[in-house]
Amino acid sequence: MSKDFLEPIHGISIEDYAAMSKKIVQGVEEALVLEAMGIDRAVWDEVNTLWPQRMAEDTSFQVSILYGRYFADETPHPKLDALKANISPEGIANLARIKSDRYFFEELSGARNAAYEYGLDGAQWILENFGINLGDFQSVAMQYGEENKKLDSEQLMEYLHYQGEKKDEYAEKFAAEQGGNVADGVEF
Amino acid sequence: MFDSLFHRQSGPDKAAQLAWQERLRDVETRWFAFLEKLEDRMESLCSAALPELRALRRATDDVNRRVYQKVLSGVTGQLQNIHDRAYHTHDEKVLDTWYEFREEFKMTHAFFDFGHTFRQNCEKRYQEFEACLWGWDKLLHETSRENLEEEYRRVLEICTAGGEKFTCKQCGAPISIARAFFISVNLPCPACATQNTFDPGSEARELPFIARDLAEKRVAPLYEAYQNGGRTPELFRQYLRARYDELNRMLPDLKAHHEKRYHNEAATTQGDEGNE
Amino acid sequence: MTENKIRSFLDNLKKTAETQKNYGLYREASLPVMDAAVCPHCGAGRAKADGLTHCAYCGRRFLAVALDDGIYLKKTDNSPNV
Repeated sequence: MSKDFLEPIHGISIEDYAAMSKKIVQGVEEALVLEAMGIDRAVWDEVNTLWPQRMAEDTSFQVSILYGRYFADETPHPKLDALKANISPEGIANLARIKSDRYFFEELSGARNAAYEYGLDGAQWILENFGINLGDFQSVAMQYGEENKKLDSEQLMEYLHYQGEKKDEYAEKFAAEQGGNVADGVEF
Repeated sequence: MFDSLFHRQSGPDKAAQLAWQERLRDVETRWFAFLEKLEDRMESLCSAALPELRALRRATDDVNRRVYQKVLSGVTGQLQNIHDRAYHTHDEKVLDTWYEFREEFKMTHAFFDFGHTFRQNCEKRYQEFEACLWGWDKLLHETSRENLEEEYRRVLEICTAGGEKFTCKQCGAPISIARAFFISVNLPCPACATQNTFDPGSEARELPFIARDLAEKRVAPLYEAYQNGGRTPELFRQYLRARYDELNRMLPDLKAHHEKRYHNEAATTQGDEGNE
Repeated sequence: MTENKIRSFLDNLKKTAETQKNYGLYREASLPVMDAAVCPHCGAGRAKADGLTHCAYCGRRFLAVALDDGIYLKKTDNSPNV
């Protein structure tokens, strides 16, 4: 990868960009995030166009990998730490649980996938039912993504299998709520 | 053919063969009928869903565009459900029967061919079913691209603020939006030189995404020519160049970035011949 | 029978899609607008020649970053002599 790929854009580094994006996806108002970083909309629009362009141009994928790492990183950003998304007490408890209990995380991932298959916005469904916003959910997913590199394939398969089982369980629930699947009643 | 096989064979396994013959025919008939019923459901679902999706896709606001996405996802979710049903049934009913048969009749056994034909027939029918399913899936997803030209023109108009006249916040002199902007931009007032900021609005920010899909759609015939013309590096290069030329025409302000990606793609994907 | 079932499935699906809130659509759809920033300290506007990052009159900072050559913003948009 060329070193130029990691040069800040208008003074916004990849670390800043990931932290800003995370705050916005968590639900913090965009204007507050820009104000905290001391930039205006015209600067942000360019930053938010050019960093994704760099990710697409970088054939080594290092920019994207770093973005993911910073997005998952929970070290407070010096300029953004004061901005907190509104999280319910239930959301705080569930967020702590998906971090400590991999099976619970896999269950919610399965539920989210099932929700999309039944015409729901899965991210919104998780927020409404478990109080976890997409920014935090993605951040935890990226943390597990890093951890996966240290796991053997058997352990990985175990998690994947569990997620599949949970997805089927939630799919059944969503199907029931919507009056069944269209192929119900077709028997061998 | 099977009858002549039976005549060649005699002995204690004849009864077993007869039972197997009946069982395999039964499974095959059921499997064919099962897939046909699933195909009927798919057809009913998709032919009813396609006009709905096309209508929803014409939405011009964020909320209704999300409704389109969710309905598309729900309909393809049902195709997935049908796909999984066929997959599990194939596993449990067809393959398990075949494995059981193969345990009893080794490849050298004269009756083995009967089972082998059963397996081939079932597989062929399964492939037809899958092709039918992916055909519907493709049609459903294509609804997202059907009116891209129209949508591009509409958003382009928004990016130039539809010719609307803006005035300088400082001195009131007119500031014209001479070209399409998809993000905020500072424009100096021609009279007093004050920097005004033009924000083209939320819809304009969709322009790069529409342009990406539209470029792909406009050069689709070239991609087909590459696919059907022996997948040569030259045909691939023609397709790739044309795609990026389209993108440059629609988003000239990002040309330098497009060109970097063009060179990356041209260098890594030389067409199939180039990889040999 | 199947037709009815399909119809009611699609109707339910549409209803669910329409009634469920959408994640991240906090911002209202916005229309094209023209605006101009004024210095929060002395109320002056920003003239092209004075750059975008600092107020030419009182020196108050507009932007906490130094601009690079981007899409429309250029290094030359940094305010001189700051």
